[in-house]
Amino acid sequence: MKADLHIHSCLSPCGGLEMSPRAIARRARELGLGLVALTDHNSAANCGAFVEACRREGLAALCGLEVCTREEAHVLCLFDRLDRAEEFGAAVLASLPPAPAPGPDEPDRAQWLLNADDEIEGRVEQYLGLASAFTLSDLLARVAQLDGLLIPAHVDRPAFSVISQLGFIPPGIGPAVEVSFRYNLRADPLNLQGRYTLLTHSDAHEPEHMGRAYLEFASEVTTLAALRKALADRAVRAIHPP
Amino acid sequence: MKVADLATLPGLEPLQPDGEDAELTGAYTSDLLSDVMAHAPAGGVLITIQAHTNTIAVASLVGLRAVILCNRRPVPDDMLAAARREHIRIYRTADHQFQASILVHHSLTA
Repeated sequence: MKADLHIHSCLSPCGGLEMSPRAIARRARELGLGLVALTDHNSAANCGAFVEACRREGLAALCGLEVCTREEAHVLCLFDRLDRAEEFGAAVLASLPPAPAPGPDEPDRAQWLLNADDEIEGRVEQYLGLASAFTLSDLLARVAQLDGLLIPAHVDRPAFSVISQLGFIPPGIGPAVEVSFRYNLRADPLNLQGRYTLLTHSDAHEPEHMGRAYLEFASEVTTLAALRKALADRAVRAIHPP
Repeated sequence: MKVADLATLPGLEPLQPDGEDAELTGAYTSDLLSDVMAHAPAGGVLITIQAHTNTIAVASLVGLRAVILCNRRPVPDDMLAAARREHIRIYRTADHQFQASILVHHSLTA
C-alpha cells in the first residue's frame, strides 16, 4: 500500500490554487496512493476539507501540519483526529510573529482556505512562512499529549532541517525521520538507516510534484496507530521512482 | 554609504545587482530568520549563510535592501528570482559572517 504523508495545499504560502484539497485527493487516487496526509506550513486549517475530499475518493487521510520550530527546523506533526490537528494548528498559528500574508492580488502566494468542492471560503491573513514559538522539545511534548506522531522533515536539506539547524538529530526523535526526494536512499550519505526508519514523501507544492517520492507499506495502513506500528516494525520502504 | 557601494567592497560578488540605490541604514548579522525578522534594520543589509528564498521573504517583510551570503554558499535560482522581484540586491563572498561584518562595519563608519 502506497502513502504520501507530506503534501501542501493552497493554504501554504508557496502553494497555488491548483493544490486544492479536492485536486490533491484526486491526484492521490490516480497515483494509487491509499493513505495521504495534508501538512501545510504552520496550519491545519484546510484539513477538514481534505478529510472530506479523501473520503469521497476512498482514501485514508491523516490531518497534519509542518511546523517550523523556534530553531527553524521543519517537523511534520500528524494526527488522526481533525479536532486535535485544528486545536494544535490554532496554537501554532497564534505563536507566529505578526506579519501579513500576500493578498488575493497574488493568487499563487495568498493562503487560501477551500472546501471539499473547491470553493474559496477565505484566507489566512497571518503569514505562515515563519518560525513558531514552539521549540523542538515543546513540540515533542505537545504532540505526544495529543496522541499525534512527530517526524522531522527532510533532514538532509541544507536549510530548515533538524540537522541543518542543530547539527544532529536529538534524542527523543524517532523511530522515523523523513528525507527529501533528492536524497540518495541507496548510498544513505547521512547514515540514517541503521538508526531510524527512513521515510520519504513528495513534499508537493504543485500537482506535478506528487508521486516523486512515496512510501510502500507491507500491509494495510489507514490509521495513525497502524502507521506507528509499521514505523516501529520498519514495515515500510521509502521509494524514489526513477 | 549607498546600497550599490557594497559592490565595491573586496571579495563581494554581485549576484543580483538590481534595486533602488538608497542610503544604507545599517547592517545585521544572523542565521536565524526569526531573529532577522525581529531585529534587522529597515533599509539595511543582512549578512548570513541562509541562501534560500525564505531569506528574501523575510528581508522583504523587514524592508532590507541587500543580502550578503557568506562562505560562498550555493545560491538557488529561485532565490535570485525572488530578490529581483523584491528589488533586494544579493552579494556573495568567500568570507565568513564575522569577516563580512567587519568589512561592512568599516564602510558604514568610514
